[in-house]
Amino acid sequence: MARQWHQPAEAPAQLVCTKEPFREPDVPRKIKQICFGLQTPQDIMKCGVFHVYERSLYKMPERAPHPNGVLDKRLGISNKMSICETCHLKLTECAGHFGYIRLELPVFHIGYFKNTLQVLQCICKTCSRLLLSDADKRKWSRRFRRPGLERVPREGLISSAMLINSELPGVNTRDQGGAPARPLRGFVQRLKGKQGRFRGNLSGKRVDFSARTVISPDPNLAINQVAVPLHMATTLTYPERVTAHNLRRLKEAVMAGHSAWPGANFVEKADGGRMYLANDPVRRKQAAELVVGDVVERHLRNGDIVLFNRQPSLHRVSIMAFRAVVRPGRTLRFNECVCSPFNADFDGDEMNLHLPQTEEARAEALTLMASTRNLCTPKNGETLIAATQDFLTAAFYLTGKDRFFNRAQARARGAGRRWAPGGGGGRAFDRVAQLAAYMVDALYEFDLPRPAVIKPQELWTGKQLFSLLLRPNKSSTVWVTLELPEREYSKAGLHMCPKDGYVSFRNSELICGRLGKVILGGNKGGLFYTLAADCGPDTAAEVMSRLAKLSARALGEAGFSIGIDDVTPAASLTRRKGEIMAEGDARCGELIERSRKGKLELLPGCSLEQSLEASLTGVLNGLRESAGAACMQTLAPTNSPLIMSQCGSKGSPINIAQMVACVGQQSVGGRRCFDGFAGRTLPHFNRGDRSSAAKGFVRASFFEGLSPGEFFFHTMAGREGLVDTAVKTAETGYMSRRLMKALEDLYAHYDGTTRNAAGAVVQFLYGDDGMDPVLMEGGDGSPLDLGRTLHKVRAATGLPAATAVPLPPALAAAVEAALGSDPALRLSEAEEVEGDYAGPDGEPLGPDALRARRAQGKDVRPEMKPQDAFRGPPLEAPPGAAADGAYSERFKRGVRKFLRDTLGLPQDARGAPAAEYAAGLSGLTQEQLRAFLERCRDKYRGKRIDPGSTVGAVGAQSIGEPGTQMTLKTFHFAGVASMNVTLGVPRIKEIINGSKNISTPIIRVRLVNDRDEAAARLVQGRLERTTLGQVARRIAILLNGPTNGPHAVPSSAGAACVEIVLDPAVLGRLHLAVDCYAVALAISRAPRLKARPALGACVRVKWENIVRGHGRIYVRPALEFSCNGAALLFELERLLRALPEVIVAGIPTVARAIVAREKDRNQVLIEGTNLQAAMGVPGVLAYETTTNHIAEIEKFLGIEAARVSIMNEIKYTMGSHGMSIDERHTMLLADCMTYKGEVLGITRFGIAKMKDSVLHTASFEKTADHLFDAAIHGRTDDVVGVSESIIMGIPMPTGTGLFKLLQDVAGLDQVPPPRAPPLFAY
Amino acid sequence: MADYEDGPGGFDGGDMDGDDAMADFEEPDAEDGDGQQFGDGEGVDIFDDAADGDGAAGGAQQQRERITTRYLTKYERARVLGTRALQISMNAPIMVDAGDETDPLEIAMKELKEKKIPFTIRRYLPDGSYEDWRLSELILTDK
Repeated sequence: MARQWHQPAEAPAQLVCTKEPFREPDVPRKIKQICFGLQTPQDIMKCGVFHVYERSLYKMPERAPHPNGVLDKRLGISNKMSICETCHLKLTECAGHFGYIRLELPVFHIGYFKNTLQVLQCICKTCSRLLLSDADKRKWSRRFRRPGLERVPREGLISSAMLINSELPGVNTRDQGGAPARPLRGFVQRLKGKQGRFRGNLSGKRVDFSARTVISPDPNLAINQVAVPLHMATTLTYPERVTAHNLRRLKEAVMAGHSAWPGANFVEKADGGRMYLANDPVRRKQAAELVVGDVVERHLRNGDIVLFNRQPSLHRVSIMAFRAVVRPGRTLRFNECVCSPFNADFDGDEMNLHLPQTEEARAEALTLMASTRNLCTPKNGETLIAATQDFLTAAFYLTGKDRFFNRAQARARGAGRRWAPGGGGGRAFDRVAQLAAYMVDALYEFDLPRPAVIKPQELWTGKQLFSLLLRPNKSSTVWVTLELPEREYSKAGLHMCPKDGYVSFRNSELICGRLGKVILGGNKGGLFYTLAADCGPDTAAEVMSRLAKLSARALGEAGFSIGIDDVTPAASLTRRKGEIMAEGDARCGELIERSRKGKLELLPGCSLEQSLEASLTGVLNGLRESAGAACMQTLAPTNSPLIMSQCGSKGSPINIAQMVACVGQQSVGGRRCFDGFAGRTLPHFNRGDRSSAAKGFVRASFFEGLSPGEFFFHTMAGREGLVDTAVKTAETGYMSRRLMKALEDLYAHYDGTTRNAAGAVVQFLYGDDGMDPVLMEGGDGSPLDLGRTLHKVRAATGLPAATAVPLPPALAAAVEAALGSDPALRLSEAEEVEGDYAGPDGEPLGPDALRARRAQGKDVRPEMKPQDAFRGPPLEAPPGAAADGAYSERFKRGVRKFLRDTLGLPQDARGAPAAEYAAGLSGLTQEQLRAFLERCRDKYRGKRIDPGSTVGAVGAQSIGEPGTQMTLKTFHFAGVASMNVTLGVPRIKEIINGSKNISTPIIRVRLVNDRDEAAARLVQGRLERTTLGQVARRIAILLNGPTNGPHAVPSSAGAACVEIVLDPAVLGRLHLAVDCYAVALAISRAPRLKARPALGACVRVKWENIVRGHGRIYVRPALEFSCNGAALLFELERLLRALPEVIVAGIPTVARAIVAREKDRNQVLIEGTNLQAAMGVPGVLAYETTTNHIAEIEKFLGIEAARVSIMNEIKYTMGSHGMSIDERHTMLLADCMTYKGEVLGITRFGIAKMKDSVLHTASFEKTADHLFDAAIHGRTDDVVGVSESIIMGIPMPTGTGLFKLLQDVAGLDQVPPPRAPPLFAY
Repeated sequence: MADYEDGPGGFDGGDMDGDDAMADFEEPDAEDGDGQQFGDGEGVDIFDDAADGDGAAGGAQQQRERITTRYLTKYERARVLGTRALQISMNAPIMVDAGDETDPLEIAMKELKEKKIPFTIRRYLPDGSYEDWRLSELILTDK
């Protein structure tokens, strides 16, 4: 294999040397293409620096490497002292050089062994001519003829092959010459594997300017800050170029030197000199001589942009940009809200920090990777950076209805801003609310609202405090309006919910509701999501930082802890638990007894054993639940675990119930504990004991303590979890890697298409609507949350004096006008709205003092109104840009439907003034409608996917990352208890591998008549494979068969035959139309009846050997057997064994079919394959019949159906694990798997078919094979993809590399005359 | 590397972008004199209205109606800011009143907000053709 760097053509007249001297390129160069090919002996000689011919390693008396041996110092060096004799560099700089060895005899190159064989196969072994016609031979002979293909000694072959590939099949490591323990490291070994050249050094490289240490939490830091230990800050440096404005600061840094922070470590002068600021004289000199244009490697400073990362980096938010804050200490600290994207905790986790070294890197990090720009995960658009744990507890605590704060409590001890009491005459006092002060860091002012209670004492509610947290003062423009039920919502009464579970924010005021995880967590529609969507991510981050600070301090002051009394069951609970357990035991006993007597009702498709297990599991799970419910009733409202579970910060009712009441059934592999001993789980129980205690039901609580037996069962279940975690990490890691390799080079282009690096279109419009998944507001991936948008518009606009309610036709027209595609129309609409949309002023919100001050002309902050949020310049509409004008029809339809559904009054009741007024209250005014539509339009436009987005990589992460969170639990019930479906990671693997054989293929058959049970049974019978053994009452050998009468067995060998008697009762029950004729036909066609070879030539039972009539069939052995009695007997026995297996009805590949009822509709679920046959069965609604087997769908329904099926199956699998993924990601994956016209799995074979690049496939798997293959075929690589670009170290044409920047020279006239150009440029 | 052969010094603004791999056309080569202007060597090409006519492909591109989005994409924003910040950090003249701000990136952001950055964005379509958009023509959003 040879890599040849593409070089510009040299001038023709040039001295021809045997070896090209290396010259530093003096022009910027770019690798455009890599060509692979075979090296000629001349090439090899050119690569080598000298001819190696000396066989001894050392020159003995001197113990020095022998010149011209394999240890010659011209080949490179291996210790730090010496210097390479070829390039005169030290160990770290010198990469080593090749020598060459002239072989005395030709050898096979092991990498090309297969190819050599192929060549040899084309040659006649006697005359050494090509096996081709003369014409072809002449054409090809020059290419294929090689000199010296004679036999060579075998040993020489192997040892030379070892140098290329030491892992040869059939070669013992002891033959390798070197030490037996350590195999040789050949070229192939250097390249392949995780640590090899490709994956270890080319695709992933080691970096400078990085740091790593243990992390710890700090709620006092903002969301976008990371605290960096001082020691790191003085080691990590940033090369800052001296300009006029930073000269003084950098001089100070140089003076401080390397030890004091903030200092500097090096100064790089214009002439290339580099000074280490080691001691005082150097520092003083350098500081004095510092001039504009020098570069100072200064220490990391506060506010510097750093990248922060935690492995495993499963998705893009595993590395984010933060602002550094230098602090003493030894750990990296950040706000706990940012734990979830990193999946970090503080039990000893370590994290990495990188300091970008150029302005460009800084800018990209800040604008694209900042934590505040990545509040939402691209997986489904939910906010990943959100309040967690204690923050939720504190918010829940603070916003309780019983929480009041008086002024004493609300006053800080220190000095603060004066605040004016409501209705006061402009006087201000010297105090500020302490709790409020907790959250603002004295960074800005805040205005306390009027107290909620004035007499006998001024009292503020926690909810007011929260309103303040959102909008600290009157000049703030943060307006949030949202309504959402919390998890404690009593499902009735909306705002008046007795549990205060309905949360309503209106214009940043918390009207009602106790805040918990739904509001403050990552939910779409939650507070931080709304803030990020409506007020910008920076506002959301700021509010989150404030919440973190307030929570940590308020909770620190109030105290929140958990103790033994929190989990001590009340006496009443102990009593109730006893009753529940006794009742449960009785029910279990009854079930076991019934099953013993065989009287247990069978569940559909289950055996007696399975039915018993299913019902027992149901009863036992019910026990834990009712014990848990009883436990929750007895807990005090101040119970800490209860509070934590209510607000969602930690724990669930199940956890509490396990601590207080009952741990419950332990399960291993989805079943009750298995029998480790003969017929029993542990030797403490009787054999065959099915009772609850004997099969792993733990009736004790963690408080009571587990009995030894219970403890053992508990560890069994616990171990399963541990094993799962260990196994799935490796599985999902490999899956993610394959996904990433397949999708990495797909990105959105400027024309809206999604293409791969080679330019092949994968999607014509990304996600079918060109929207960015991370910005989707609707839970189902729809672009906008229309309900919330309307809510916000209503809350902000108030009610204008004249209400003009739009009439239905006007409504539709308005939608069309706003979302139509004519830019001119939109423009005029925008202006018109701007004209009359200002709206009347609402009620002034602030205290009178503020107005008074304004009247006096004093400096006051502007008082903002919610309406201001809607005042903005109309959108300009530059010409062109057709892509911006289009709104997906689905979106338009959605808006129309939403408006029709939400509008207050029935349309025809309008007209009378009173009715109009009423409609104004609950309906929508003309202005509101306009504002609403405007807002929808603007938001929709801002949510388009940006050209250059790496949609493929994001998609791969979005599918790979949830995989790690899926429990490996394979089985799940699909509606019917007995029907198992593979789910979880194994199922995802099946789908993306494009497996031809899946473990649980299930066909869902819809019926023409889906109401009638009997009709369903009829179809079931025709689908299910039914064997003769199932429908026969008797199958027996008759040595004396009927020789006369209608059933006479015509035979020359007596009447010996096998008699089959059908069972009409079974046939009737199965609704099978099977008669003797059908059975006979089936037997004659059955392939299974083939004779064993030993018994002769009889292939199958011949038609004339079957005699039938009146429910009886006689099968006679073939004539050949009649001569020999023993053979005849054997044949009869063989028939007896084989006949019950003959399939008489149904589809042979369908093992089981079950009638299932779903929403009043019967359907048949089939365990098995052959969709086509199932669709053809009469009574089956073929159009709606589907399967989960994607290869079958492709085969029978085509590639488009397969694409949809891939999407649906991934969605279903993820959904059944409670995970949601934006449809666009699965769509892209499905498109990528199908765009070549066949379903390609995301495996090394499928990926090789998708990608053309040698470097890409070589960096994935089978590195050496791909490289050898590329060389022998003379492939070229255009270096356009992601992997290739990374390997070659050039920017990839994605994201910020998709376009070019050009400097406008014309614009330069307007600036002041340019100063002297910088002394040097990069 | 045909691009570098026809330019006299091959000095067209230090083409470090490495992204014309997909396009098979000629750069509108800047004259040598332009190469001496500031902005040289910093991730940007010199773009002159007059010179633009020379590049056959470039001239033809302008005739066609432009189809790409009129919004500044976040990647364009990042690159513009980064390149401009680099220029500023290397003592390029500042187009706005920077006030007390010394961070080149912050100054670049301010310049972008006022649309004072003299850049043109050349957007490449998958077929290798391109559209030129002046920064002042594009809509800035702060999402």
